[in-house]
Amino acid sequence: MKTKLPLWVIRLLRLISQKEDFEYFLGDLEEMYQERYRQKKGTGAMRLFLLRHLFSLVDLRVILKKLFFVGQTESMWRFNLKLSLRNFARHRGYALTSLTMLSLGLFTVLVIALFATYELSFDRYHEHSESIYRTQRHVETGDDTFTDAMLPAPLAAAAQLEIGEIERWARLCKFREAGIFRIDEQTTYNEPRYIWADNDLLKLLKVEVLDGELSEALSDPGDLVITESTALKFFGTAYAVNKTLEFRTGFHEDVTMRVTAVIKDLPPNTHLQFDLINSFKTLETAHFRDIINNWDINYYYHYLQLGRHADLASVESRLNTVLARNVESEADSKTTLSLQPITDIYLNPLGEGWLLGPSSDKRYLYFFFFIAVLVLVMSAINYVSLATVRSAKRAGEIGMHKVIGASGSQVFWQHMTESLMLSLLASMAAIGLVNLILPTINQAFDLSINADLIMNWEFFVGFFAVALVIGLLSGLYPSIILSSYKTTEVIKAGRHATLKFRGLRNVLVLVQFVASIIVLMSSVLVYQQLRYVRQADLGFDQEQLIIFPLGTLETISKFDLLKTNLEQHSSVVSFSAASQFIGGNQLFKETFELADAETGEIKGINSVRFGVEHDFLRTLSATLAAGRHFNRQIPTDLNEAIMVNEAFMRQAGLSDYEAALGQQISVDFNWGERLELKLIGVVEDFHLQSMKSAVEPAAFYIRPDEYMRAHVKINTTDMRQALTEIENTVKSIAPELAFDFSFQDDQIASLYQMDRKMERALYYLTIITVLIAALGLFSLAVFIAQQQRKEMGIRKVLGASSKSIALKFSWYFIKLILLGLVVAVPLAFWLMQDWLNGFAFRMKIRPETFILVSGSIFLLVLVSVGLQVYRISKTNPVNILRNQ
Amino acid sequence: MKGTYLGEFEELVLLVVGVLGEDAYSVSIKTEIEQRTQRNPSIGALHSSLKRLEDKGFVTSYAGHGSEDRGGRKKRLYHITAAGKQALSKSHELRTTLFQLLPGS
Repeated sequence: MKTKLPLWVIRLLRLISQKEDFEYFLGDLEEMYQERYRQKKGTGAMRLFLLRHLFSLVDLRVILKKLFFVGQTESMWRFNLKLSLRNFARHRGYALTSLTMLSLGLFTVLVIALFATYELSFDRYHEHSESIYRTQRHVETGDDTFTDAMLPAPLAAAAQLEIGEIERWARLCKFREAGIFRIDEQTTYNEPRYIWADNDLLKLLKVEVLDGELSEALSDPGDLVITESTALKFFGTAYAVNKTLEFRTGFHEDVTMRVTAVIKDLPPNTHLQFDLINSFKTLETAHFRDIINNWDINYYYHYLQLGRHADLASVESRLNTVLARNVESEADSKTTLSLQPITDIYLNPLGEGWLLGPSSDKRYLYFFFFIAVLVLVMSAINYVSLATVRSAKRAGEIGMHKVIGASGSQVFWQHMTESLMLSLLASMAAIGLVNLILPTINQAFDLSINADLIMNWEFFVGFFAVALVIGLLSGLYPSIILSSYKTTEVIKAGRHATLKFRGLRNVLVLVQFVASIIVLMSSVLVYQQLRYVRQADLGFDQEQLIIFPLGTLETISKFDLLKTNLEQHSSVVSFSAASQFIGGNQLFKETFELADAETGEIKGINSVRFGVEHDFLRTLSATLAAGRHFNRQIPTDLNEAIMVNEAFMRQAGLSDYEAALGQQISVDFNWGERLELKLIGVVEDFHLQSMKSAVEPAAFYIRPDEYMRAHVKINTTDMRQALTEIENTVKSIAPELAFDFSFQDDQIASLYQMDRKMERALYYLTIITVLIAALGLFSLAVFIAQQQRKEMGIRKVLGASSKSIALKFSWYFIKLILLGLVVAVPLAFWLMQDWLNGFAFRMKIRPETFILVSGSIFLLVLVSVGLQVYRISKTNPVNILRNQ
Repeated sequence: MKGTYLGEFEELVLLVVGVLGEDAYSVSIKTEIEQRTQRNPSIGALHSSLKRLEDKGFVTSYAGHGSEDRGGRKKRLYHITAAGKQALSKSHELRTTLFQLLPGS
């Protein structure tokens, strides 16, 4: 009895084995199969048996070889390479154009990928970065909702007691003002980057110790951990353990701190930046009140690490229970806690003023990603359309190959080789370019992207994979088309060939137009939005306004003396002070209560509070909307008057300002007492922070013990002279102050650092994109024009003018660009509308922008194409036609 | 010389090739191994072992005629070389020497 080996076995075997082995393998299988058949095995067992042996015959090397040489031998592959190189050498212009476009595209993508990698690398270097969280607080009060990370300090101990999944918990506190550290009588430093933290913070985060021991470094009052560069600055040595210095709190007597450890400077890619850590325990002794065991003070960041198998939702819900048990919730407000992974903080930052270090915005990341994809698509399309246009020229070459005996697959692989080689060359060029330019990019954008980020094999493999895919995809179409040419057709007349894929070329050119219009439009719009935000009127005069902190109570007590002396200078317009800077950190808020005019019901308004000196609002040149400014001549202004901004009035529901004057407003004062104030004036809204956030309600009242931030309005052409005068006066009256001034407009500008970087990045990206698009378009025009030289020549002989010919041939592009505009403009509009929705203050998208951008693109196309065609149509038709 | 080491399975296959003499090819080797040991090697494992043995110069191969059972397809016959025999006896010697050194035997 005989049986037949199933057909699928033979097919599979052919697929996996080399030609030479196929017969032997098949013979073996057949023999074993027959043997088993004689033993009368069941079909299931037979199938299993066949599968097992088939599988055992699989050789990965053979499979790989087969994949790469479909219908090819190794020598063919070598031949393809040689032929491609020769082709590149012969058509240098074409090869160079394609190469430039591809490498520009890949370069852009690489840079964006690098940037994205950097942005996503934030806080991922900590040992347990995936299980470290920061608590967030979401508060809903009436129609007002906000999210921050400020929580009471006792939460830590209470939560740890009940929630077993919490492995570590560290509280962190950062004051608004710079810390004042006195090394000795002569040397005092203002250190803005200092925090207070529990000892466990050093275990949560990855910090490298240089000197001392970290395990107990922050467990006692007076313990201080500093970074290497701070140690060098303070003591001239990194080995500073056990050195002591004075910490000046400003509201309490000085505290002696002892350095317990010196750590390496922090890497740039963490949201939590600091140079000095005071132990949290110090806060208990160094503050004039108990602010640590108080559930009502929401002022502390909480970082925690969860156990490996902890359930996030369950921990969150128990956290909320702990909080609710300890904090009496107000009737109309609801507070919920949640945990934010530490790796998310950088891209989803808290409100302005509450940041602990650098922050970014994932919207930018999305936008850049979007541009990267478009650029990649554009450069691929450039290649495809160029290759297809040029294929007409190569029709003869391909025909010749075929006559000599090349098969379709050989022609296919030959052209595939070319495109793969180009993309590989381009990716190498791109990597070289990036390495060359990276330092410049870092410098220009104040980034610290390390080339190491790409100098690892994963990145290389990924990048080359992208390049290969681009090469494959863009090579696919031309290769298929070229290999499908009928020999006789192409030998006889090369022109037939191009007609075949004119349709697809149109689509590609159209897609490219659409892509570049979208990139250009959206870049211009993003650019406009960023400028709008940055240059909009803040509502107060930030020019020629000098600000400096007055530091300690000792200096604040000399305020009046300072004022009289400073205002004697002719350059000083006015000198005043307030409890906080505009655009400064951590704008303090307070709940103000006022009775509703009609119902008499008490209403709470959560508002930013400024303790000010009489002249503060005048110094800012804020505009009065109603009532009057504070006046030193009216003694009741000191304790019984309040001014608010329009946002406050809106929140309170008071639309008639004049009628509202005299309204009683009360506010918490000195921890428990209440201050009863009378509304004397309303100022027009001015921005307390950057334009990215909306104007919040603000209230101003006189608080002489809070004159912590001095504001000097000057009017001078000689800034240096004025500054020296001010500095000398301040130093003579308050020698204890480390005079450290800045300009209000710089302070505001610093809020837009990130945005300005983005503006510049966008600028360059747009240039590159337009360059790629223009290059592609231009070369396309050149090739098409050259192809149709004969037609032009004949037209000219028959009497057409150069101009009419140029117009006729440009018409093809004009049609496409018009169509492209029709598709791209609504798309760009829709995309950008969506993007802009994330801003509190957004410009209106103006139609002029679209018209201007469309117009300039149109002009660009017209000029580049028209010039090219015109140049050819100007040549003497004899020269063209003689060649035929 | 590079790679003259004999793996355990390779040694077994080489021995069987020697034993079978003129009729050593993949399926017959497989059957022999199945009968002598309790193993059931896959055909692929045999082919790769044979290939390696051939690369090391321990066996030579030549094409043989097909039988009816094979659907008339050729088989690749293997023959042990002098180097193969030497490798086998070397390995045998080593084992015997070591075995004699085993205490209590």
